[in-house]
Amino acid sequence: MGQNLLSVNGLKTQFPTLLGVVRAVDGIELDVEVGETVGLVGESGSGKTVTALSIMKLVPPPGRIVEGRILFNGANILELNEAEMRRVRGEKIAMCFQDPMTYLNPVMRVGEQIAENITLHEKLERQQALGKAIEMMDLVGIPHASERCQDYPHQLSGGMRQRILLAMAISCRPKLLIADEPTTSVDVIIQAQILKMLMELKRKLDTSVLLITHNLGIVAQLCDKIAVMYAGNIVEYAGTAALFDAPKHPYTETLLGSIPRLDLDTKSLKIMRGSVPDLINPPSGCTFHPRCPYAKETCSKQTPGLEAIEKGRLVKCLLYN
Amino acid sequence: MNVRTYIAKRMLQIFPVLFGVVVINFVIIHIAPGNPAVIMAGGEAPPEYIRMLEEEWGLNKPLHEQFVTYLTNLLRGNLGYSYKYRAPVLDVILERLPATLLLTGTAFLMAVLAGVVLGVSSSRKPFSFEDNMIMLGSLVFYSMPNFWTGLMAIIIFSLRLGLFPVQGIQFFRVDLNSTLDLIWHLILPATTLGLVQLALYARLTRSSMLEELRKDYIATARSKGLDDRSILYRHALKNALIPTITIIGIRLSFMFTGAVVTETIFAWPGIGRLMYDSIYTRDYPLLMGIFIISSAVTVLANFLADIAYCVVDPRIRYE
Amino acid sequence: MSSKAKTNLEESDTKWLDRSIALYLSRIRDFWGRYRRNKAAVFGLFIIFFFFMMAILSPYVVPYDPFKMYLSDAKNVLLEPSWEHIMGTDQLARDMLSRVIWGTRISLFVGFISAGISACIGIAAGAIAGYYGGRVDDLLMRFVDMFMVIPTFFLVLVVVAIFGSDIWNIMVVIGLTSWPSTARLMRGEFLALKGTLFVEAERALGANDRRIILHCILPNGLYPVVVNMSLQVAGAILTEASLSFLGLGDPTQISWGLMLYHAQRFLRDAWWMTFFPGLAISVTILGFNLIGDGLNDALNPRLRIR
Repeated sequence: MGQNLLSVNGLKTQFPTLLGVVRAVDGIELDVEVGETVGLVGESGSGKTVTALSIMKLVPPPGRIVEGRILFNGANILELNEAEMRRVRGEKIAMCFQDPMTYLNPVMRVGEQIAENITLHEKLERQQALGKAIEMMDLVGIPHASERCQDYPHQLSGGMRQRILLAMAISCRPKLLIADEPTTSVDVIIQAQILKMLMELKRKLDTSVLLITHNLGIVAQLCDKIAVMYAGNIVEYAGTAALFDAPKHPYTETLLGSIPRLDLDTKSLKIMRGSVPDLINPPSGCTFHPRCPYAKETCSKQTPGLEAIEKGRLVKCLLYN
Repeated sequence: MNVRTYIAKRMLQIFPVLFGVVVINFVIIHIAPGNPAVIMAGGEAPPEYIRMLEEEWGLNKPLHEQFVTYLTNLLRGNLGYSYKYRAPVLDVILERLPATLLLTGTAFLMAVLAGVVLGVSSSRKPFSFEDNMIMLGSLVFYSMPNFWTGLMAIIIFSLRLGLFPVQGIQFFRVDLNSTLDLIWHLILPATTLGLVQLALYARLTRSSMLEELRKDYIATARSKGLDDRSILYRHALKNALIPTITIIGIRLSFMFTGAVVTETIFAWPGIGRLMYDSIYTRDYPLLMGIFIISSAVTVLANFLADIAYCVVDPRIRYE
Repeated sequence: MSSKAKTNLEESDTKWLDRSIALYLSRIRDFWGRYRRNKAAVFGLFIIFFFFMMAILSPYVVPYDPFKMYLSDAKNVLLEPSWEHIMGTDQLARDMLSRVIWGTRISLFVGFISAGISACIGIAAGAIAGYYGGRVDDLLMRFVDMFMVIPTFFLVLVVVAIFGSDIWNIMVVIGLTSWPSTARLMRGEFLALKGTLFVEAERALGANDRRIILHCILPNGLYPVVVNMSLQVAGAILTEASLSFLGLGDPTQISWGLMLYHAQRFLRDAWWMTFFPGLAISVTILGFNLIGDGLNDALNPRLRIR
């Protein structure tokens, strides 16, 4: 049992567009305890990345955070000014992005890119910073790190580049690491390697991790708790084992049911009918109700709250409220 | 090491271009109205001289033999003889070339430095007042012919305000006084020559920077907590300069051509001025010689720009 | 019976023609809508249209005869701008405003004809090189490389100095030195479009090379060339002005560059002789640059996030 390192309350992030205001994140509650790995799962467009960017206060304009509190170590970071926030980024909260080719500077050596983070936050000499960078590269499993650090991104393979991004993120031992789809743009074999590396890191470092992905397989292996996100809302939040054993929210249930499993003798996979909702004009009441197999009259009229049905288990569904 | 292949390839491309220039010159000499010998002698030469030329360049022989003679002469450094200056064309040109290089070089440096700085500062807040002003100003200055800018500059800064000299540059001594005097004389013509290029580079840099700032690695830089200035200069600019260098290479020849007019207006003793004079004295060998030499210089400069490109973009170096 | 069949055919022909025209018109409307959004570009168009009108209507618009020297009274020489002579007079007592207006004729004439020559040669060369590839393409690229590197203005100078300053000479030389950049663009388009499914389909339907080049690829690939045309006209006008300024222009014409050539002697005494012709050149070039920008925006739409 630990205290909350990160506590997101009622976060709303919106993007004004020519067609209307997109409510990318529509009031979410999220907690990450010290040393914990929390998975944030959902389909594309459910608002996962925007949540991560909001926590880093890196929402690209014209988007803005319109409401909510983000407590980090007790302080509301939404109240920090830009200069203060820059000290937090890279040092206390670090983010590791999705597609390593485009997220690395093509004309800068990879060692430099990692060292840059170190020099910025830890006032070290360039040589020392480079030395630390090489240590980090070792930590994430890059062979011949001291030679590799002189390479440019295009000389490395996809898996290596992903590790570089990771090394960059953990280089200053952040308290919170946000990993946005770290396995999505690599093939299955590399995926397994990265998974293994993440598990080792979890062991070695004391970092809390917010793992964003749509791959339920890796959250099952890595995460302590899982938050399921749909159309800008968190619809279920539970411990990993509990979630997989007995999903409560209809969305989670359908999601899990749609994964083919070798160990069960399923005749057919569950399909989710309908399509992803329009975030400019979301459905009234519960946002999931048009696609919910258990939808009732009240679901279109009343919006359920994210409430606890047992200890450490929250669900946003009228079935349980 | 692919750098060597790259450089070798670029070097190989130089020769066809120079060959083409020689061919063009040869063609012009022979399809021009009148006797080719007269063309090669220039307008003021006496008949005996023309006969001498016919011997030297083999103008009585069939065309292809003439071309070989022409080419060999050229390769030996014989670009012809200027009757007016009573000296070999090559010598006359080489004497004036440094002055032009000084002028063009200064203008170029100024244009690149100022242009890039303006472009970068423009890209910080796109579509802001500052940005719009810089872009509008660039467009306006880009449209002004440099001879007009030069003349207006003389009227305003030299004649009305008396700030800068109009003409009369001397190169003889190398001491502090002379150097300062040189700089004083250099300012107005170099600015005139460089203004159009400056405008172009400002616009180019700005659009290049805006492209780069949209890219993903900028997000990574931001997530590290880097401030705007570092992101702009250390990350975006390095990438943004790469396409700009290519364009700079292409525009190098325009620097030279601008020099003709600028040197004429400011009485700068370079090859641009030489070209102007030789038009009037119908000193055709000198005219064509200048064309050949300046082509060679621009080809060389282009080659250097290509090498610079190679140095700046590591993706080419380590392919 | 046959006459009825014939009329049916004619009818369907005209329907197709109507539809083609309608499609064409709607494309133009679309394009104009996009072009209009760029206010500067519309301004540029207005400038050029205005100058174009001035060129055509010169004889009716000029307040004085631009060629006549009003030397009856020697005091008319080098007059400052006033209500009678809005742009002043030159050293031969000719009204500057009239001369500037008259100057639009030669500038636009040279600009369009030179660009036209460049376009004809460039499009043809680029199309053939791009479509057939191989040795022809190599040869073209050699040419293009050469012309992009060497100082072409020097070449123009040399040619005009040797061959004479006749206006047609000038236009042909400018055209002959600027076609490579057009050709390069056209070739690029042909290379890109040559491999599209659209072209493959046409080939499968039995279209021969000529038809593919002229009807399929060319109309689609022309856009960047059209944008480039605007810049070519601007460049040609600048080159002609530069030549005239150096004294190599056609002395029988009234050219802004030539006016600047004469103005050099009077820098101290008559600034208006320098200012107005140069301003005219600048505004014209600005107009074409704005149009070029506008065409570029309209033909290559890109999302802008404000």
